[in-house]
Amino acid sequence: MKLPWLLAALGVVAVSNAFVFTHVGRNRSSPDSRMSLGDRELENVYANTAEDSRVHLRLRWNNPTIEFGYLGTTNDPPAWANEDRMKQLGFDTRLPPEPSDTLQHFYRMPPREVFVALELGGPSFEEWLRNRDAKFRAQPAYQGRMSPEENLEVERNTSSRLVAIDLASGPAELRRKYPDGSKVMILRGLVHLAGNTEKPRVYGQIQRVLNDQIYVPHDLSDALPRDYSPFYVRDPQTGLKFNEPRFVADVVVGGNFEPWVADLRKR
Amino acid sequence: VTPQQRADQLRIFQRELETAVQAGALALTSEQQLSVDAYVESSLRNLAGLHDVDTTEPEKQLSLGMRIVSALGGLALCIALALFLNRYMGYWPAFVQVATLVALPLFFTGAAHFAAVREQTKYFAALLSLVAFAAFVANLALLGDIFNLAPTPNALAMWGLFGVALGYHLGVRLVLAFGLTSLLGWIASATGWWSGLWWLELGHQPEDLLLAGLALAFVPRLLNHERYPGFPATYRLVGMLAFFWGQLYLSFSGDTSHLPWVASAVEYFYRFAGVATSAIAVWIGIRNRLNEVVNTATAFFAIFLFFRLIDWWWNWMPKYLFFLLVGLVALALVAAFKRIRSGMRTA
Repeated sequence: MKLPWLLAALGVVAVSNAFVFTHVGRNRSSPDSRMSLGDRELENVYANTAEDSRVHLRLRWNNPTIEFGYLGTTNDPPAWANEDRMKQLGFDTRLPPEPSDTLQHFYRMPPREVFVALELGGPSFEEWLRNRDAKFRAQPAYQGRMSPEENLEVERNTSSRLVAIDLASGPAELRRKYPDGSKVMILRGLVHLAGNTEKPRVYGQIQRVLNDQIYVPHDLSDALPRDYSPFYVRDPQTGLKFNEPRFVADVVVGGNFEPWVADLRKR
Repeated sequence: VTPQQRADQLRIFQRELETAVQAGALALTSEQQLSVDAYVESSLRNLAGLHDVDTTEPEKQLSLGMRIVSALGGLALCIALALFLNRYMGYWPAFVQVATLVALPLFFTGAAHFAAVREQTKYFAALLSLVAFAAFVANLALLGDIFNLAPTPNALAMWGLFGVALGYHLGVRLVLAFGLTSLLGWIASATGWWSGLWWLELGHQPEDLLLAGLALAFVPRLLNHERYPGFPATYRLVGMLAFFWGQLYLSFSGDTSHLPWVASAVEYFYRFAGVATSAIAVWIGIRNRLNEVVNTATAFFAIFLFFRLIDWWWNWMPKYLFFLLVGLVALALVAAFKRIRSGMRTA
């Protein structure tokens, strides 16, 4: 046994932990955005199960790059996810030689890490609702047992008000465009290319937002409801009745674009 | 020659001497016989005292059992540690969580060190070093969870460096293997990450892993491992598993290659390369008496060949005939290996 190897092993542990704490300190010392979110935007997961005592809240958000065009309201992806933007992000958007290979070609292309801007409420959420409304009306099978008006009402009152509105390779560009940190949250995400044999040929889809599962410290987790409660009930006689939000969490995104729960209280 | 190999040689020498005397090939006076026996027994006693080696066959069998139990016990303790942290960590305040996560790898590293100082065979040290490695993995992974850090491949590099350092300090091969595997994972993920790809898409850069594995297999030629007798074999084993696994993956998924060819051409290339490189590795292993190289390469040679036979024959012949042909190919391979062995004897 040689002492230098032991010191090296202990040094790796020390350096790694020092790096983590410096990183966390830098992230939390310079917040980039702060929002009060409710159970529409934050889903309670893994709360105090027998084998896992940790509590997490998963960020719920709406993704226009996945939803567009499926049900016939528009054939255009959002301008911020079109072919030109994907080229700017470093994707090779050329089509394969055989048009029949298009779907597979883009499906197999690996995703890239980007920054995603999520807006809380506001015009983007209204546009999201308009798009959904058109889809509910265009597709009877999509309506289920409710009328298009009821579906829209459910969407308006229960869907997450966070909507993806832009993406970029760096966060500074997004923050310049959307300076209000109480309205627009910037997080890391993954985007991949999708392709059609018809127009639009090539566009981007946000695959996921990273860090979307946010740890809740023990002293805050008591404010979270322990039981399940649906967002609404529908009575054939009286119609829809929406339940009150049950908690509010202050979610802060730091200078390294990593979020944390700063406060959590019952409603 | 390691102390254990020296002890084995002494026992073999003693048995061969008895056989030669019984066959009349050698005649020893009783004084000479006593002197040889005394030399063998005192040498074995010295070795056992200095290095705690096994001096009899039952001792060796028991040692093998203890090694297996030590490895399994270490793995069980790793799982116990992870499940314990999952079960209770959520109830602790932040400073207790952080202090526990930082202290655990330091504590178990220290415990493994003191076990190694007190016990030459290092069964307890090996077991505790596995727990120390798992504690360090839990340290960074759970800090990442409670502080919501963006996932990064650099944690793999830290785990790799820790595993290698601890492996060399204690002379424990399993921890070295975990460390080397982590470093290979870091190279394979970080090379794509630096070019803008998402680092967890390891399947999109198998050539990086393949080349890193090949380089790792040659590390023992560059480093002197005189004091670490089992380590060169560990480097070669981990490196060759990565090298052959990378080729196997590319032989099915050619569109993930860096090569500027169409996917089908890449797949054909790696199907041929897999068979050829595994055959070459078997030859190199035999020439250099490297058991782990021969065994790994032979296994992958059989895997590559089996997949080729499926490609060629599965769809157009009855299944009984397919398996009959696979059996006949195996017999042909055994015959070929026998010829090679006879040739080596003649040489």
